[in-house]
Amino acid sequence: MRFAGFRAADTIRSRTILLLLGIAVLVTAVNVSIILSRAPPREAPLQTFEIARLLRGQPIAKENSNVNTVANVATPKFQARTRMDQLVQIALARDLSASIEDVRFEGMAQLPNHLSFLPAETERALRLYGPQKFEVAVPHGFKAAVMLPSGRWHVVWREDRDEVADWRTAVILRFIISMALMLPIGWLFARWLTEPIQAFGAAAERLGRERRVEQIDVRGPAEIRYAAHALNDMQARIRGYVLERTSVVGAIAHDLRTPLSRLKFRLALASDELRSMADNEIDEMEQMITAALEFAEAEARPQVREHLDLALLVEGVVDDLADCGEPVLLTRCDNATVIGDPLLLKRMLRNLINNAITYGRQSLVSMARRGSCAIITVDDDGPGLKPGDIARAFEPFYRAEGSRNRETGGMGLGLAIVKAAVMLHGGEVDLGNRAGGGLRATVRLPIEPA
Amino acid sequence: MDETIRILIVDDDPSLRRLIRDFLTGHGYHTFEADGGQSMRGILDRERIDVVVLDVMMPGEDGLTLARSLAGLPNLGIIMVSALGSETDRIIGLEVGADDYLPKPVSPRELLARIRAVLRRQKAQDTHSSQATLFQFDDWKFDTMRRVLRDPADIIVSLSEGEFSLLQVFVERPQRVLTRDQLLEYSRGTDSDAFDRAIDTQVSRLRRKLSSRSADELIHTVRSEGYMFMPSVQRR
Repeated sequence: MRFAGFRAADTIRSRTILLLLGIAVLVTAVNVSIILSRAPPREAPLQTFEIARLLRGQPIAKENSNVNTVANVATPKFQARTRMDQLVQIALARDLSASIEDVRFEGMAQLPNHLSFLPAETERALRLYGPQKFEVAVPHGFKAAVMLPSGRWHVVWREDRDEVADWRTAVILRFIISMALMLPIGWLFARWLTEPIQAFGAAAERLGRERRVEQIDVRGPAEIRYAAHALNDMQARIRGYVLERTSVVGAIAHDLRTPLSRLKFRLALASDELRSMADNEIDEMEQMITAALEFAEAEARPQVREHLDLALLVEGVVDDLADCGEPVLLTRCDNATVIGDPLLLKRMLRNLINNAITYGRQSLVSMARRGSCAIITVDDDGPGLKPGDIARAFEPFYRAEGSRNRETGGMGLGLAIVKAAVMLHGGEVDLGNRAGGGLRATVRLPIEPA
Repeated sequence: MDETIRILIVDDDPSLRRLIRDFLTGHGYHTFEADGGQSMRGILDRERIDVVVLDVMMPGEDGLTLARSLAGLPNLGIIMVSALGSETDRIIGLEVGADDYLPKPVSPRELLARIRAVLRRQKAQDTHSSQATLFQFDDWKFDTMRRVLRDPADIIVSLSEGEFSLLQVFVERPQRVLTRDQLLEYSRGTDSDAFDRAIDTQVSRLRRKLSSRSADELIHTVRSEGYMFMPSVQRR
């Protein structure tokens, strides 16, 4: 593989592995922190004999029992509600040597899942060990009471603390925290991963649109660098093909000029009538050669990029043509500065206006600023174009049917030059028939923010 | 020394060389031919030459290189002839020191006119530093060779041909009242074909374009006399 030669560490693959490792470390760290910070301070389960001691006002060995006592109260309102409660009540009565009516117990109405084994187990203990021996552990909150000889009651209780719920809250909290931590990290990472891809894509897109000789930056992960290299190579090849094609056009045109020069000198000796007729023919040929060379130049020339006032450029071209007596009118001209090649832009505009004058009686030019675009329109009042011709109008050497006559002449390069010039400036150009008849050429050029 | 004008034609195409030679001889010039750099230098060493007509595209040493080597010589006019004929090409030709530039196909009468113009300029040696092609006024920069005008913010301001010629007349004669007739005469002198509109229209258009990018009034109207270009101009 070619990119084996690059810095081997920086590939999309290694970046992805790095991401996965990073996430694994982060998640594990969060989990470990939950376990470490939440050492389970479980309340000790209380055996019935311990509860009995508490009911008698005696101390028990366990420290974190969280039990409250109150002596000398009226008959409590709670009752055993479940079979489990009854079993505890039986054991308590036994341990207190009291009658079952004088003992009250109420545990949880609905045991949590992790304690659901308790009733069955206690039942089994009762069955196996008998009422004198069986023991019950109460791990949760409860209320227990015994009647004193005075007829008042002694009550012992502890609040029900749902430890699992506490645990769950803690886990959810940590999860949210870890998410909050991970989000910016992930975002940064994703950017790190996708930015070179995006930059590459944008560069490739620009390349296609503007036909500009611009090397794509070779940076980012190895795969991207590889693709950028390949694209740069391809671009150079395409450039070579284009140059080859256009230089052939240019060379032919160029070589025609020397014989034309000779012809002009030979004609110097001819009669005035013959010379003026032949001169016209030579001029026509010369116009075609110029068009071919301009086309070759627009395709091949290294780009000049300067800040220029587009409004004055449009005005200047229109004024020049108007000064020569051409029927061209500027209807609107907003202020706009663009970066570009003034010669190419002038040539582009002149070609559009000349087309309009050739096919219509007059040409209306406008330049409007819309957002980050300058929109130049060139309208004529001629017959317009068929849709098929519009689609092909920008192809080099293509001429609409019916224009292959001497009156309109040309080589079919005018619009190809327009297209090449507009593309070089990162703009767009299209043709369309106007509602009221005639053709409209629209050029969009990106403008320099003021 | 005889007063015949002596012209050296440097071109690698023998038949075109011959044709130009015959044509110029027919118009009373004394002509020499060279097919490249070497024979050109040989003739220049031996003969007194007034004007060199130099083809740009030649095998071996091209016309641009030759023109550069000749540019320092006194009393020698250089006319470049190029089959490329683009604007960039013209600028390069003038930059290497050619006095004039002609695109092919060359028309005989055009060549004759250019030769005469170059000779005229040679004779008027004082030519108020017509060499200067870079002018500066009020932070504006005006390059008459490249035909580029830049405003104080360095943005290119395009002018029509007529306005361009007018501005050139103004910057070459700043702070002087120029009448309409003078403006017309001077600006027609430069090679502008398109100058049909009334001079006042041209001036007001030029003034509007300049004032849209400058605080000061650059072209002042002198009532019933003409116009004056206000700022002082530095030549380079």
